[in-house]
Amino acid sequence: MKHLGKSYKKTDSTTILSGKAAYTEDFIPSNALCIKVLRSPHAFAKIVDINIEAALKVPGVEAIYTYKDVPQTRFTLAGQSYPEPSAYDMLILDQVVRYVGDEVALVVAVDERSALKAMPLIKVKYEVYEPVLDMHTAIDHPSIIHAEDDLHYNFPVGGDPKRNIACSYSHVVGDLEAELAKCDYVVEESYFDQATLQSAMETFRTFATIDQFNRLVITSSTQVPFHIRRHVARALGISAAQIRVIKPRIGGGFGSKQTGCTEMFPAFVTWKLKKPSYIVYDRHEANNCSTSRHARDWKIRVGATKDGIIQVIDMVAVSDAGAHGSHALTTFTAGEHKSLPLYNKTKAIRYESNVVYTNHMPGGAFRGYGATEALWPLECAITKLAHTMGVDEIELRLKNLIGVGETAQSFHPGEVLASGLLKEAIQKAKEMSNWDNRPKSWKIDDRHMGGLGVALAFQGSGIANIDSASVEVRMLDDGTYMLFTGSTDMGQGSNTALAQIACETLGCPMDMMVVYEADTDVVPFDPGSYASSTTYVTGTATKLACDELKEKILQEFGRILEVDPSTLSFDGEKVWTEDGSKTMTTKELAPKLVSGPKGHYLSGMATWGSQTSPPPFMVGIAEVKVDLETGKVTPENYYAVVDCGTVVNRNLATVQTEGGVVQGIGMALYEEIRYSSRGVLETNNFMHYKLPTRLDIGNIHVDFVESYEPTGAYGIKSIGEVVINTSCPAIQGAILNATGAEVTTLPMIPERVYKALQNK
Amino acid sequence: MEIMLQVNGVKRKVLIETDEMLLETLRNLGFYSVRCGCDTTNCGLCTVWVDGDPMLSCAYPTFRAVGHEITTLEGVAEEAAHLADCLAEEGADQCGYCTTGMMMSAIALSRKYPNATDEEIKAYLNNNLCRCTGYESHMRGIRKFLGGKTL
Amino acid sequence: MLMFMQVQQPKTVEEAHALMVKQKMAPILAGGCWTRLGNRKWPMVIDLSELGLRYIEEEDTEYRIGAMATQRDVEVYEPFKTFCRGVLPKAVKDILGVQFRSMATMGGSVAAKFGFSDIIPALLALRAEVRLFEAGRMPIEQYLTYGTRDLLLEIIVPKQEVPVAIEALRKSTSDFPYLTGSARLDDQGYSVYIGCRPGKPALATKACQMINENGLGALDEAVTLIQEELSFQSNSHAGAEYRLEMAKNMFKRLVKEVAQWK
Repeated sequence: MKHLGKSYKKTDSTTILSGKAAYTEDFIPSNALCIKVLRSPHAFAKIVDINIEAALKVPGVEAIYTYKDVPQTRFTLAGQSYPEPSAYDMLILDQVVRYVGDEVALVVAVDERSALKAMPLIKVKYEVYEPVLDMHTAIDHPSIIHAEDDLHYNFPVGGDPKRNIACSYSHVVGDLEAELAKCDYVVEESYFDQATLQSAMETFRTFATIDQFNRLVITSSTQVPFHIRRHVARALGISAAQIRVIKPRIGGGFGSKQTGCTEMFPAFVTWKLKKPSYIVYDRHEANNCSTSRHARDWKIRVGATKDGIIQVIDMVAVSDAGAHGSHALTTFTAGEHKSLPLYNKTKAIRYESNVVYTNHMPGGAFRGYGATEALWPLECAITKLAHTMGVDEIELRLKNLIGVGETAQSFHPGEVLASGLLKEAIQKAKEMSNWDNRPKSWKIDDRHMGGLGVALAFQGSGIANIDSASVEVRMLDDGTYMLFTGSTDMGQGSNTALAQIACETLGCPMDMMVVYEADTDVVPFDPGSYASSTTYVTGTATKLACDELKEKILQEFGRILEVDPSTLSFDGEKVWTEDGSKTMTTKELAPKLVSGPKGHYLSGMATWGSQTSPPPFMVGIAEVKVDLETGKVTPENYYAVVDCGTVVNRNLATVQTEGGVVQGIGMALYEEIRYSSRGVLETNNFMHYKLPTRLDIGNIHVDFVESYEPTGAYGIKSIGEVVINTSCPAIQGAILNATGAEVTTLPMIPERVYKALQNK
Repeated sequence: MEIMLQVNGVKRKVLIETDEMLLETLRNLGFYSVRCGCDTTNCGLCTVWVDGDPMLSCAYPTFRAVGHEITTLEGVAEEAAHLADCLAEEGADQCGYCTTGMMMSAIALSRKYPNATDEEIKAYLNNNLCRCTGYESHMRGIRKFLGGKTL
Repeated sequence: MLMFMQVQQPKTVEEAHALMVKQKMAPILAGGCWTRLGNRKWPMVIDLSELGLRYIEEEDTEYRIGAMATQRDVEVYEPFKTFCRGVLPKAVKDILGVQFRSMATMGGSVAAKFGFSDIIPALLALRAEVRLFEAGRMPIEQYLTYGTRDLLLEIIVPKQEVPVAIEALRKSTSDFPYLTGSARLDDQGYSVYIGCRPGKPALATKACQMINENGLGALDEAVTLIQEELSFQSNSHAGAEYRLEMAKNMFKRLVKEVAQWK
């Protein structure tokens, strides 16, 4: 391999590390109007009267919009391929407000200070309803969160809005109770995970302008420009051709920007006023008024026979959709496909949840997308089972682990695991952590115990049979190349990875390839970067587009050099004949292709979607220190081995893994979601929502095993999401091993661990 | 109010709101390396130097900056480029949004404590949050940067 | 964020005090660290940055820490690294981070009288005093209940090498503590303060009395008295019961630490 596996620097490093204009806010035109959102103080209410007269008189205020002013077409903001499996249950502004912080009015002014001055002058009279603040009481609650008659599903997802059910899913294979009765060991437990916040460092922000053709141009910090274009087109009732969406460099996404957030407001304002406008969320809004992970309360039963075979996995959850159903179904279903297949010797499985509307901030997409949530109870329960059986928890896992070529009860018919060095990854993680030669629990001093815990995880690579990516690669008139993609580099380095794949295919050096991305006027359709799709799906489209271009280039060389193209060798920069008698560079060729009657401008174009979503695999082993007097858990070391197929860029894959593990540590130990009894999210800033700092995480050790995935290009799978999945259960197991304390609610803050220590 | 502000060695007259914070002033002047991440002094994205000490510009009233030397990443371009290189070689930039603020802390550290241990580096940078990297690659890059400095 | 129309920057403490008295509601700007938290617009704020109160001075019998000295000034002040085994730098070093501590002032930290303060327990154990413009010198313990709008000028720490210990429990390194404490051992015996219950730090009088009279053998019994004399409440950071349990453990650890001081 010439380029794959190399640790190239990210192609945008120089710009983003220099302070040059690169992000959305840096490009806001100076004459753009500022938009501020007046928000609901109530968890559930109807606006019965709204008076904007006094506010409109504030100097500098240009307009104020309420639910009376916006189009009445419902939509979803979930960034998913059409037809979205999320309910169309939103308006730009709705007369009903469904959580504390929901949008009530848009104040548009010449600057922020004028808008802020006007905001308190808007007088709103609410009819306040009893909110639904506990997902366990949501179904058939007297308050119906979505009572509107025009809520629309594109296809049945088991929803029943009149009962506060956003969607529901149940997958049962085999006879659960009969198989459980045959088991020698059955463990049963409840586990709870919170609606954690993605917390990208750059909050949500968007500006909109009108171009010289009277079209709407939206520049936004988004992972899904094409989905945004479609959402805005629907909401405003205009065609996609009237809209251009551009994504500059963005300050992180983690799924939060796979859901529309701020885009609709400047789009609406600018389209209405035909003037540029912008909105920048502050941290409070970003944490309080966007979308989060879904909180789930799990009940799990795992049964095994004494030969160590896991016969039954039964997982039933109640899931909190929050105020809207964005990603409500698919985060849950994705969780099944990325957890249960790990242990495929089962005779019966169940995976089931009602995903209910509540008056909380809506759930959405967060790295791991349901898999993180599902693997939390599953991997904790497997560890518990190993304890109950008195066997090594890795041995138990190995005994039940799916093998290449095998299927699983939770797989789709005909689906098998096509690749994966699962056992090799586990072996490597054991060696890194010295698992076989050390106790899983040890005394550090009179106050502290040490412990080791393990968890396994799958994820997917793209969304099978649904998402497909298109890539165009052109040879420019000087013989260098440009690649056009609608995928979105959000810092993970996907542009760099795609450049490496393109250069690998064409053979040229990296400095001959420029990747241009995420501008809907320019690049071909791509759903965007989510679902761990870009390196696998867009990467494969990249290879195919480059193959096509290479073929065309050789044809042209052959024509001009008057030789059979099949006799030519090509390294991306030049061709030569076997005998060396004829040679020509792309630099010499390209100008000939863009002039004269024989001009033939070359580009390769490919669209590719996969019939499968090959799972990357990860083993995580956590080493923690537990303070017996306080319950405080300190992460000491984390050993991570990932099989993401071919590693495209070693450094970037390593940093993805480190970042995912640490984000998982945050979910495991520090990041708390607390609502007040009135439904106010109290942890809506970084003072109270504690992201892990560099002193909170211990040392992260990363390595890879590289299987070869046959379905896409170059054996590649994915890495973006799988890396967040092991932290919670591995740390839970480490605490359990260290002290015997079993914590079943996230995050595992000292008070919870202390209580578990008392209860053991 | 109109004040005299010295940024990166250049004195200039600036028209500010009385309650304006340095973060807003600097961004208005086009110093895009200075960013807002939290409003609550937790994230460190807005880190600049006041008389050589790293401070949070989101909570530093601009009127107080009169008579003090303000330094942003743009003002230490050479060291910043070197550190940027060390970080990028590790893939430690990722989204880059928090990195410039962290770099201001790291460059201050390199000037004040060039022989800092790993634990001292972490403690010095603890006010700089990062959501992408998991911090390990920062350490690799900064070690390289500090090593290069002492050579 | 804090909004204000006008800022006053007095140049002398007399001027500053007069302004404070005249403008009864005007916020006082010390370090300014949490200025962005509020959501009110004030007609005026009073800025203390030009009063010349940023200093730390060593006298024969005491250290004087100017109200505008920063937490970071205390952290890096050379004599404090060894004074009482570095208790003052230890009291500030876990507060958020270097940038925050370079802005947050000692005066602001004390005058806010936050229950979660890391610094006040240490100052209590050190028998520190404050000097106020109007009321003059006053023990810090007394200052915690002093209600007059007065200008804090400096914190005075007696140069007395006595066994002291402090502790703060946090859920994560950048969080507020959910319990703090300090202990001192001198001729009068043990004094142990427990803070962030979540109320302001207070002396566990009876528990201290028990060990002062009966020795360390009575520690287990002593800590049972804590709940009688100090109130514990639940808030966002910890539950009341847990806080009490943690206070008992912390009391024991702090006492043992000062007892073993050699």
